[in-house]
Amino acid sequence: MRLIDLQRTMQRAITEGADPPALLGADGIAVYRHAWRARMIEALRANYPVLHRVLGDEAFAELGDAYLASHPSHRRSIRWFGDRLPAFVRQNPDLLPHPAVAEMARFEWALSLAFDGPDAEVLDVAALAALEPGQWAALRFTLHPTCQLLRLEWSVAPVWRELADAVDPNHQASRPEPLDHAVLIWRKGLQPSWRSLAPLEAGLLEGIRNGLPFEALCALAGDVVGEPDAPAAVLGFVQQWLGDGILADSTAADGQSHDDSQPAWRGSRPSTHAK
Amino acid sequence: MTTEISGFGLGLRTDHYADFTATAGQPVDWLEVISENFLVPGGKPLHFLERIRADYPMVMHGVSLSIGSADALDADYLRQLKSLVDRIEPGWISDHLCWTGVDHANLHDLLPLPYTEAALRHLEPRIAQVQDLIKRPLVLENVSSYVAYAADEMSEWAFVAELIRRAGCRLLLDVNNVYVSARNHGFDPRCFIDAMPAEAVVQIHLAGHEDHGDLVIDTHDHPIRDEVFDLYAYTIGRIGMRPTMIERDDRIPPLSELLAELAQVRAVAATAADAKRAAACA
Repeated sequence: MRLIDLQRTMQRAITEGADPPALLGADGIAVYRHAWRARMIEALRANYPVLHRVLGDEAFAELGDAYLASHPSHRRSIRWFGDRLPAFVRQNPDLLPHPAVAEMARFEWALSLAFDGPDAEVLDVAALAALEPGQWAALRFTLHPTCQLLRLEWSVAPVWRELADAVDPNHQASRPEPLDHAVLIWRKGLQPSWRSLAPLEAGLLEGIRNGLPFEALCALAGDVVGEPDAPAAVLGFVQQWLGDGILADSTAADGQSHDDSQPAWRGSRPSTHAK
Repeated sequence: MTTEISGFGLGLRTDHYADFTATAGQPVDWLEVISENFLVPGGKPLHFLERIRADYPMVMHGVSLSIGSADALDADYLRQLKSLVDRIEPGWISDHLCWTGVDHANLHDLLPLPYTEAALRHLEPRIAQVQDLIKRPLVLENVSSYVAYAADEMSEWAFVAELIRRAGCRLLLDVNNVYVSARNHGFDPRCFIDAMPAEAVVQIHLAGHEDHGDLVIDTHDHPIRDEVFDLYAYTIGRIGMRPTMIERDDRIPPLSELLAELAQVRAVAATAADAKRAAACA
């Protein structure tokens, strides 16, 4: 038997369950089969600890099995396992007890991306202070590469915090309420962070991501607070973003250029073990 | 940054980051890092890696090379690996003599290869490809296994020794894996050790396993067992001292416990090395 056929045979024996004569030791195949499933579900759990808490061991393992069957890992690193879970649960709502849980998965994956997304120098207030007044209108900010703006329909973030903070593993979370809102997720220093955004702030950050200059941001703010107060309103946000490390210094070189076939702000986290 | 690796080490685990950053002088001569855990764009993993690397020599240990797969080597993975090599300047770069999946699937397990001439011919140019990239010999580790192939044409030790001869790679000798496979397949683990070309062995792994009687499972979640310490002493007696470390991947104890276990490893190695010297003088 050619090497490729032998490997296909063994791979099928592990993932689909069979005891082909080319392999000696049925108990041994069972060890690989069991270890494979356990390892993949554990990796999913490491990426979605709060989702695991919401669902409990059994339902989470069921979800994990369904996901594993339809999205087997093709990545070199197991840390990426689960990258398509948010889309998978959105398309399979019957696997979830509540539609908000799909948003919880999205939120949690975004946090994991913030954990080890690219480093960047944050914009320093001194760099802005050095600007001439005439330079402000055309000024374009750059978001920190870990910034992700999520539009959510349920109040999942508070429930997420409640569960993440709960000491009792059996803590029953409050039910999320319908709530149209935006959440910003990014890494502050080394710590993944998030906060809910009022519509104006969300609009401004989206504008920055779309490359709008300061004067266009002011025009956006003007629609909400009136034209005269707009520059002060935008500057107020800028001050907060500077403090939170949300703005990157676009003149500084990027931290590291890892292209893991993901958008620039992606990254994730369960760790690998060797044997 | 020193790249010199000698003495006794541990696998760096996130649970112990604080111990290694708080004190530069932990009684560990070097650390082994899992390459994949640091093939990320940024954030905490790389932050701690660089901080700890400043104080400790390191070796890189991968789990995803899949050197024995029928699939082509993953060029993107190799590029990322090389970039990490350049970043931390490891003493050497190791992975496993195994395959992890085929047809672009990754089972994230270290699956045994058939011990055949065809597999040897398949491995040789692939090892050369990696060695060309990293500009040094690749270090490969023997894996523990739970099945054999009806197609096997030779013993695992004959296969490993022949591969080293042909490909010019080095060996990370996992003594626990030798023990586990010996029990599972019913061979004398000393036959394996005896067949290894001593000059090719650059590193030794020790770890704990679970003994279920008919089946021994390489779990890395227990301290090293006496049988493995005995085989380790035998190994040192045969090939001499080699950089040795404990691999602990699950139920990770406080660093102090692993350091106590590492002291035990040092003592076993010293006794075995003394005995070897005494025998050489006799």
